[in-house]
Amino acid sequence: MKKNIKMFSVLISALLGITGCAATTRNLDPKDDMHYDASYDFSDKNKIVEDLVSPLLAAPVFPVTEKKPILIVYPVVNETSEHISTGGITDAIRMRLIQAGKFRFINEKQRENIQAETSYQDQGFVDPAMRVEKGRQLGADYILSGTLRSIKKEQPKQWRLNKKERIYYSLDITMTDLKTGEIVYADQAELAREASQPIIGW
Amino acid sequence: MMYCRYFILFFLFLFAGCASVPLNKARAQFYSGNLSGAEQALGECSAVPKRDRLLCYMEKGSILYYMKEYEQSTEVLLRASKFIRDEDLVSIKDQATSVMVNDKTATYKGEYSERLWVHTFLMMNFLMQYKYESALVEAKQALEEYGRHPEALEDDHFTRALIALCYENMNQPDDARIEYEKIAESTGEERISPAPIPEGKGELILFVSRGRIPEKISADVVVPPSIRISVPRYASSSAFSPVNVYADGRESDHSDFSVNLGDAAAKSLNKRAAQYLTRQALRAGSKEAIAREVGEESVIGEALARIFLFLLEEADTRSWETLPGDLTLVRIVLDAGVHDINVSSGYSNSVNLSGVDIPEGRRIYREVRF
Repeated sequence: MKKNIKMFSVLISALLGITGCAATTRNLDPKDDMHYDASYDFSDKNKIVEDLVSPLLAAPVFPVTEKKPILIVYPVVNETSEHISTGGITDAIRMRLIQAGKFRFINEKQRENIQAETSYQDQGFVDPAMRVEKGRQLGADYILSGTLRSIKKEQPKQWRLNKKERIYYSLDITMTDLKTGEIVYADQAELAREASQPIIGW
Repeated sequence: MMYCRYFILFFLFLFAGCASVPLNKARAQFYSGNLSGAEQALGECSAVPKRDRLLCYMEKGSILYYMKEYEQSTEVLLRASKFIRDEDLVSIKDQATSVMVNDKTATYKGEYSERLWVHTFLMMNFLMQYKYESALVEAKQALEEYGRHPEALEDDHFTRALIALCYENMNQPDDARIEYEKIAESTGEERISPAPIPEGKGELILFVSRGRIPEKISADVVVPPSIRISVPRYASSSAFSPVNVYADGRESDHSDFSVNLGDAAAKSLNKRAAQYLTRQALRAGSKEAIAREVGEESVIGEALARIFLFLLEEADTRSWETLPGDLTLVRIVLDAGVHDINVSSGYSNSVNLSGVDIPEGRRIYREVRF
C-alpha cells in the first residue's frame, strides 16, 4: 500500500511538472504598454507615432483648405544601435495622416511598380481607351522625413548583482517645402527607459 | 561514503568537455577548400550543445561570408550577436562545472576580440549588400565593444576604419573623423580626414582576407604531486606583407587599414587572464581535496583518482578558427567606368577582378581572399 502511495505521489509530481512546462499562448492588446527590456519595441512605436502625429495635424502651418497639400513620405532613417524596422514607423505615420484627411499622399514605394504597369499598358495588350495617360501623376508639395536616434548608457563595471542600462530614443520629423527647400515644420518625440538584468543566472 | 566519492568522479567524467565533431569536420573542410561541405557539416547550429553553439554560429557566419552568401551569413551572425547578449551573465551551473572539471564544460562566450569580429563581419555583410543603415547599426554595436574592452581591442584598425566608412556612407563625416583620429592615436601616424568622392570618380573598397588565425593551444605546467595547470594561449601569428593593388595595369594609390587577428586575439586572451587563472587555482584546490578524501580510504584509489583528475585538466582551447590571419581594408579612388583590378599580397598567386564597374560618386565593394 505504502509503495502504491509513493508511486502515485511521484506520478502526480511528474504530471504537475510537465503541466508547468507546457507551451502557452495568449493574445495581447497592442495598445498596452509592455516592455521586456530597455530596447525599442512595438509599444514605443505606438507612443512615438501618436506623440508626433497629433501636433502635426494641429499645426497652423497647414490650415484646412479646399486644396489639400500633397505629401511624399520618405522612410524614417535608423541611426540607433539596434536593428529596428523603421518602415513600421513610416507606415504608421502615413496611415494616421491619411485617416485624418488633411493631406494627399504620393505612393513613393509603388513608383517602380507604377512605371512597370504603365509600360505594360503601352505595349499594346491593353485597350487604348483604358490605358493610363502618362504625365498625369501628382507632384508633391512637401517631403516628410524622419530620423530615429538612440543614446545608450551602461552602468560602469563595479561590484553589483544587477546591471543597469539606460536608453534614450528620439524620433525627429521634418516637413520640407519642395519649392523653396524651407523646413516648414519640425517636431521631436522622445522616450527614455532604464532596465536592469541580473548578472548571475542558472 | 565511498560510493559518494566515486559518484563525484563519475560525474566529473561525464562533464568533461569533448570537442564538437561537426565543428572539427567543418573546419577541416573549410581549410581544404570545400566551403559548401564545411557549411553543410555544421548543419543547424540550434542542434549543437549550448556550450559550443556560439562557435557554430561564428564558424558558419564566416564560412557563408567566404561563400559570398552575405544574406545567410548575416542571419547566422545576428544569432551569434544575440547569443552573446543573452549569455552575458555569470552562470552558476557553468562556474560549478568548470571549477570541478575544466573550462571546456562552460558555455563558450567568445573572446573580447571575437565578440567584436561578429560585428565586423556583419558590417562587411551589410556593406556587400549596400545596406548602409544596418551596417551603421553594427558599427555602433562594435563601438560598444571597443568601449567595454578598450585596451584589448585597440590594435584592430580594420574594424575602426570599417566603422568610419559606415559613418561616411550615412553622411556623418564628423563621427568618421573621430574614428580616424583614434586610429591615428593608436598608430602614431598622420591623421586622415574623411573626404567626399571627387567629381567624375568613384571608390572601390576591398575587404582583403589573408592566411588563417593561429589556433589556441594549451600551455601546461605540472606541480607535484599531481596538480596540472593548463592554460590557453594562441600560437604565434605570422606577419603579412603589404597589399598591392593594380588598376588597369598601373599600381594605384590607395589607403589601407589592417588588423593581425592572431595578435589581436592573443592580446584579448591575455586581458582576461585573471579570470581563468582564478578558476584554475580554485579547481586545483578542489581536485586536490577530492584526491586526499579518496586517499583516506585507499592508497590505490588515491593514485587512480589523481591520474583521472590530472587527465581531466584541460585548457579551454576553443576559438573561432575559420577567421583569416589578417584583414585589410583597401580604399581606391578611381575614374568612373570599368576597370580591371589586380590584387597581390606576397603570395604566389594574385587575385584578378575584371570588369569592375565604378559608377560616379558611389562606392563599390569587393571581397578578396588569399
